[in-house]
Amino acid sequence: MPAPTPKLTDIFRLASMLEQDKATPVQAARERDHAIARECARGDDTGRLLYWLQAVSLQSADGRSAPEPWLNEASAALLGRIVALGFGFAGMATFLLASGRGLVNVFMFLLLFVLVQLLLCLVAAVVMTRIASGHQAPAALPLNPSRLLLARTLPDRRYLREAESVVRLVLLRYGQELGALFTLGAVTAFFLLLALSDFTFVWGSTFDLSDSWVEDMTAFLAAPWSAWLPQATVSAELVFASRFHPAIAALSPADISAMRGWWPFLIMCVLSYALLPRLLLWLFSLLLYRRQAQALVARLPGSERVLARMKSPLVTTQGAASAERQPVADANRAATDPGLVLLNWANALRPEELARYEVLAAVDPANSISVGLGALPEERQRLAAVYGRRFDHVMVAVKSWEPPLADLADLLAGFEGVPRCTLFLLPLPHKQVPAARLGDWQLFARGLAFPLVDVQALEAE
Amino acid sequence: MNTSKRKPEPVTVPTFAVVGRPNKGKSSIVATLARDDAVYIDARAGSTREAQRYPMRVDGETLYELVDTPGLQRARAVLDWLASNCSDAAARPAAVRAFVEQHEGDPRYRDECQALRPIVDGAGIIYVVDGSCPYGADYEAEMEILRWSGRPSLALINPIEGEEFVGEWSAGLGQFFTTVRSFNAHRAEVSKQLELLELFGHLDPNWRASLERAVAILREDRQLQVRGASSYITDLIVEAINYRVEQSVPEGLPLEPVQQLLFGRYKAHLVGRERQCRQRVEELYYHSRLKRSEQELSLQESDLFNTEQWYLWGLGEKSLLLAAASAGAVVGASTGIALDAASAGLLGGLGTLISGAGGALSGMWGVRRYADKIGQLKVKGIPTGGKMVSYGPSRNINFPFVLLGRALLHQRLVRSRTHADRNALDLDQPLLEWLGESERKHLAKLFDDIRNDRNSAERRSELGEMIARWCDDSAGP
Repeated sequence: MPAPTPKLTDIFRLASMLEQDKATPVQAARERDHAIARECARGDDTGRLLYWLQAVSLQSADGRSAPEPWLNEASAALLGRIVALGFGFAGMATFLLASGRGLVNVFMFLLLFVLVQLLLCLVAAVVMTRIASGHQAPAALPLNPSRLLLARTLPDRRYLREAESVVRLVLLRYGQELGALFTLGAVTAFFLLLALSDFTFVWGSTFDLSDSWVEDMTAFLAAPWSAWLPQATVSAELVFASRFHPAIAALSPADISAMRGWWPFLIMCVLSYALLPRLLLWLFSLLLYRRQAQALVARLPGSERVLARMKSPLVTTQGAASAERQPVADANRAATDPGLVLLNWANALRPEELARYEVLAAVDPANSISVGLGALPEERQRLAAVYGRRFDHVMVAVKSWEPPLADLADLLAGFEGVPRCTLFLLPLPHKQVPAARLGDWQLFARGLAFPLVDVQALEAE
Repeated sequence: MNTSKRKPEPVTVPTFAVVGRPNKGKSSIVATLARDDAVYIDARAGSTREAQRYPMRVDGETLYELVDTPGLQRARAVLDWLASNCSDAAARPAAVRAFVEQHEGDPRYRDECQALRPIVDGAGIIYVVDGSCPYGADYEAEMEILRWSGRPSLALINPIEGEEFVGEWSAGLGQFFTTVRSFNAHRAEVSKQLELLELFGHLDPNWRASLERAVAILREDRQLQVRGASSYITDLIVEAINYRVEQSVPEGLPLEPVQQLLFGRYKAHLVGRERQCRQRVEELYYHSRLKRSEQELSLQESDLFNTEQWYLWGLGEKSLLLAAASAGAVVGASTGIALDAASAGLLGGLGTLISGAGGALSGMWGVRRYADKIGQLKVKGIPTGGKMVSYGPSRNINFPFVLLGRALLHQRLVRSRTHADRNALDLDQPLLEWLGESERKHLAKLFDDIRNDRNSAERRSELGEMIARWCDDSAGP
């Protein structure tokens, strides 16, 4: 399937939509564009982007189609074409009928209906070539009639720098179209008046032009068709016979008939040098517009992001319920205990360290019990005897860097009735107990069921 | 032991349960690998109370799934139950399943059941320990439980506050796990993250293809992030270089309040655009709740104000001249045509040429001569002329460099940041100091061409390519 040609309206709407798209959160855009891509059957970037535009416009509020004004692009173009055709017809008719004596100067004819047209075509060709070669598009004249049509083509008055060349190409395309229709109108009028009125073609100038010069000039102009259409050339006799001089008061019917022999040459000049270039340029502008517009659509800022989202798979690695999980409330780790005893949890305190800490020095080594390691049934057996004794104070040495576990809470729960419990946090060698860890243990301590519980961080060596 | 209470559904998607003791960085690892900064991470222990699933989906198809679990609290009690309910080694996985099924409603073993449920359902085990704390024999109970489950497993040493004990842990874990890796959830580069995911695939031959595909897709996704980020940054720079605000002020009204208004609009627009660009870049990298610490974009260029006279309903002098010249030429040429036609063309078209040129010159002269008077004309009391006050675009050579530097610094910090890191982004750092002299000159030329609309499309794409190169993990600063 060939890539579609975007209209100017599409380009402006796409640019606007891409601009709005910058505000769309990335994940939402990913999901939306991926869903659009699944529906899109186009394989080319332009087709994808135009499909995306249509889909996104429908989704957004802007997608609601506003009532189109009566003077839209199509109606304005039609009006313009009719006017161009009419101007061409009227221009030629006025020109042919202007002379009261029915004399038409060939030079004026060629100047107005061939040379001016050809010059305008040359200007258009230069501009198109510059645009095709990537140069900046030159400014258009404010009174260029194509601007009126262009104004109907654009959806808004926004200046879109990226679209400058395609805007100019639309302008040129309309220019060629109107120019061709003007010429066509002029040709129609020419034939019609030729059939209905009596006028003759003469040549003359205030410059001293010789017959041979005029003959050479007409031969040069007729060169493209002289070989296959000799009727549309001008003979030396005709040139000589149609030379105008103000002294000529009246023309014989034979002279008039001879002078009318110019018309096939003139009409071929108009067709070859005015109409044909216009049509060729019109075709060229169409092709150029197609190429430029397709390239522009994929080059608009933001379109590469849309294409990337459309072409790539939708990848998610996040959790389904991304809502933040709340911090845990106080754990339900109840415990009670009586007596004075040191519980060395998970070997937090090596035996030789017992005397190093003043607060622990008073503890009878016999009352220092290692817990938190090995099989649980054996530990329970060892503790069963301890639980039966009365203690005033349970001291627990724990590794400050480890989190408090429910396993320890279970163990402390056996000391029911003990009025006080202290958790001693042992630091890592040469380090302080981090505040966060202290907080963990304080939270843990709050969950213990002793009447008095405190947490103490022991100083590092 | 009742093992027929609930038949687990077979796991077809590779699933990995991240388990371990509380506060060892399980959620951090999940957040990093799942690229999800919504994962709750707290310095306090036991912040995860429910198992959470993080599936990696591609177009709706799940390629693998990570399960963040609460920390094991009563490992020894669980092991005790397992030992007393299992007589031979072959029945150990069934015993673990039986434990979960019997205790799922028991609040005492809630955390253990949450952690073990995905494992008995067929998930692989990712066991996490903290490499900044010493190895302890008290961990062996939980490792033993995991071994009992019979599921493929690997151990990750997450050095939360340092790597002091990583060696110790490697030796200890090596006795329970065939694969042990060190992985810093807060610092791991993307390549390390992807390597780890590939390693997960090696736990079971049936998972390999799925994980390899997932890793390939994640690599592509990384490239898309780079391209997307560079595209947003390029848009920002190009817009900032060309941005201009203007306001027409009718004749006789003061200009100063309008200038202040325009400066406010200019600044608000660019600051807003920069903020928007940052937000989009963060979203591209799946960061949705980053905090930033930075100074606002500074714009103090009062010399950017420009005031132009305008005449007749907003037409500037040039436009008015062009319009008057065109109109004069048309009127003059029409007269000339009539003259030439009347003289039967004997003037050789000179009438048309001279009259057309004369008309154009007259139109231009008229505008030059009477422009001020035209501007002072009033229609229903409203002046038809006045001043056009504009602000921007910035001519400061450093302005786009500053903006680009800020954007690239932000992108660099975002792209290298894991989703476990919850510190504020420190954006108050030197900008573009890594940029070479030749690149700096080239950039200056690009900015100048874009500003002056010289081959701006090509220059823009060139700038985009340069920015994409700097945004890339492998080639960037």
